[in-house]
Amino acid sequence: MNDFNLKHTIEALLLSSDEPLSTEKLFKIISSKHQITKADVLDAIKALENDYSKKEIEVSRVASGFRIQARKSINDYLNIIFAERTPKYSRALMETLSIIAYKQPVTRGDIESIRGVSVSSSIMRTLTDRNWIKIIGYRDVPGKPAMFSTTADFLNYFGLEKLDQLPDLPDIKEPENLDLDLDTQTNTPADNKNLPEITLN
Amino acid sequence: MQEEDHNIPVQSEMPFAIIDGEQITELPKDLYIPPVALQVFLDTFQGPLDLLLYLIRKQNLNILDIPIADITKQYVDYINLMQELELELAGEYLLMAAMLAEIKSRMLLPIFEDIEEEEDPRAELIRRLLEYERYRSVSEQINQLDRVERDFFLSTINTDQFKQPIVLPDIQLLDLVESFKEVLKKAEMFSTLHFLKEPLSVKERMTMILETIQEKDFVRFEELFDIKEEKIGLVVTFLAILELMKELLIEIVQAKEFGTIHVKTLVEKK
Repeated sequence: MNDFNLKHTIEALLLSSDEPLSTEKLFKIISSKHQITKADVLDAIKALENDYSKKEIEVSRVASGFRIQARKSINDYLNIIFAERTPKYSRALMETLSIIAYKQPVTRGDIESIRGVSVSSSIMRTLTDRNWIKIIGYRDVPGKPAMFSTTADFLNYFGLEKLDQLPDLPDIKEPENLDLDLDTQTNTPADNKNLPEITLN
Repeated sequence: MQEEDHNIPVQSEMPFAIIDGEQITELPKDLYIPPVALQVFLDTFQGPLDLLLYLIRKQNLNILDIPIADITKQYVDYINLMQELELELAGEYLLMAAMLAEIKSRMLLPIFEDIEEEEDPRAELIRRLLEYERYRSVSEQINQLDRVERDFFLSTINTDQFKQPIVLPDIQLLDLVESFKEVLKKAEMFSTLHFLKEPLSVKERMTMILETIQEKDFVRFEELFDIKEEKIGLVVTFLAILELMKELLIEIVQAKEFGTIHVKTLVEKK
């Protein structure tokens, strides 16, 4: 038992596991055989990160725990190996996913009222199949619509730990505070510089 | 050599977008974009709000001060174009057209300065456009986020040897035939059991009942049943009684309403 090395054990576990492992999970697995504390686990992970500082792999912390991944610096090479593997997602899917992520829990009706189009069943199926969204309950209104929220797998996929690491949702300007001039019916170009300049010829 | 594209100058004078109603029908032909590409272009709109945002952005209009009449006209032009190209035109697009028309008609009504409660008819639409734009822009950002399969490459050791390998045996046609034979055999056993048991017991019960009745001449219906028997036994007895009735070997008699039912033999005693 003297050859037991916590750091190496954790490294092997993280590499072998199909999904990220949390501190609690690592502790539970290892403490069944060895006297360790959760702090030991965290220390070992830190030591592991230190070891990797000279390597092209890193310990990454995501929603479900830790995982070991290649550093982005070698992505150029990896993209050659894994070319054509990246699935592309439609704008409709990304919009639906974003609304669920920022406004959860939401019903299909909520998504529809923001997007102005009915929710595509195939998009919802894809999101559910990828385990990015799940039904977390039913709203207590007539019809009892299902409420959706995002999952830890969704955050894992985007390499995030918490929902608040998502990009900030742009602020909405309250239309009440805006000076709406009813008489203006001319095509006055807005002075918003962010708008793309499109010349009509 | 003859100039083939002498009409290009005419086309370049045309605006890229359809702004004037008169040009609607001609536009698909006059545009540089071939119909197939135009279809793809129109197909990319994610709904009426998306199309409206596009129209507003394209002309550098202030989203908070939309010239409803112009936008409505353009919007309807696009819808007509979609219809012409036989794109699947969802009801939402038509609903939005109706909403735009409603806004315009409300804006035509005189505004009473003293009624402060009255909101700009465009306010609700603007609110929806702004709300949609928030999620649309953030979804583009999320799309740019690093992600597994594209930007994260997970390092794993192959641990397949620890997972219970599911060895799929090589199935020959003969095996299939063999196992089907088994199935048939089993089914045969089942059906034999099923058919053997019942007719025998009902027949047997019929004889027993007849014997009982012939001994006593008149038997109460309930007496024929042995409550201690399981349901199946009771059912068999009942079936036997029905069978006997059908064969006109017994008769069921009831003296008065709700009275006791008696079973009587119809077989002449020797």
